[in-house]
Amino acid sequence: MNLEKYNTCFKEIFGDDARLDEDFKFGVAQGWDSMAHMELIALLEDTFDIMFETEDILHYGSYENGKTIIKKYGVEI
Amino acid sequence: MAVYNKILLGKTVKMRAIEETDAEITYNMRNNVEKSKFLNSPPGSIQEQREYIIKQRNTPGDYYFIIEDFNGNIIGMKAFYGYCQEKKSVESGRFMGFGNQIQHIEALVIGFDFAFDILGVNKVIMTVIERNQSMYSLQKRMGAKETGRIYMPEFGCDSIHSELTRDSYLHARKKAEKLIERFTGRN
Repeated sequence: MNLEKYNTCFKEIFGDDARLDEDFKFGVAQGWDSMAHMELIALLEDTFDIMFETEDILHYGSYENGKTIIKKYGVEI
Repeated sequence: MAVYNKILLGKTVKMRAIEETDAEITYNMRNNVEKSKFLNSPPGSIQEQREYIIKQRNTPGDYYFIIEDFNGNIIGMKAFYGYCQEKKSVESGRFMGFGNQIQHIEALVIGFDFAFDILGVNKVIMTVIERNQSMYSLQKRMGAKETGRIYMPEFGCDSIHSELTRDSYLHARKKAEKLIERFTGRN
């Protein structure tokens, strides 16, 4: 299931205790810094076999908004 | 006088010494409310910023850099200050980034390379406001270890002091380099 794989990516970067909800965002969620952001993007790309455009990487700022962005690449969450 | 006259070159950004002619653009950056919320009070005028730049350029042990992309856009600032040859240490801070995440990562890498390889320090000292979660996290991710805290009433939280040693940095640098390599040149 894509949601499971999506959540696994986030947990791998931010830890099993990460509370993945609408408040889980860059700069707010503990540990979501620029390096974690790019590691997350790399992991999502490898997991779903996609390649994000720069603008989408820049704006991939939240767990929830990310689901909308990744849809553009044919991944239904 | 502390001006490093060479360009620090990366794959996505380059860094050069700040100049008086950067006064207006850096004044505007410093007055960006969102980006400046964890920094000291911004300059009150472009002239004040110009005087600050002149002072920085003339202060021994202070190195203030402008970060540019390869389209000639100024996308940030970063400083190293309080360089002490005897203690082989320097402080790092005043980072402001208006680029993307990879550019921010690379600006940090280039900066730390400057500190460890060109200044030849053994440790880089950093301070961050606890509420600046993303920068605090990034410092730890680059290998910095916390050394102390002071409560800052004006921010309502602690100011966290950390040190980054060469060995810790080199370990984190490999990860950063892989990310830079992977994402450079992406459209």
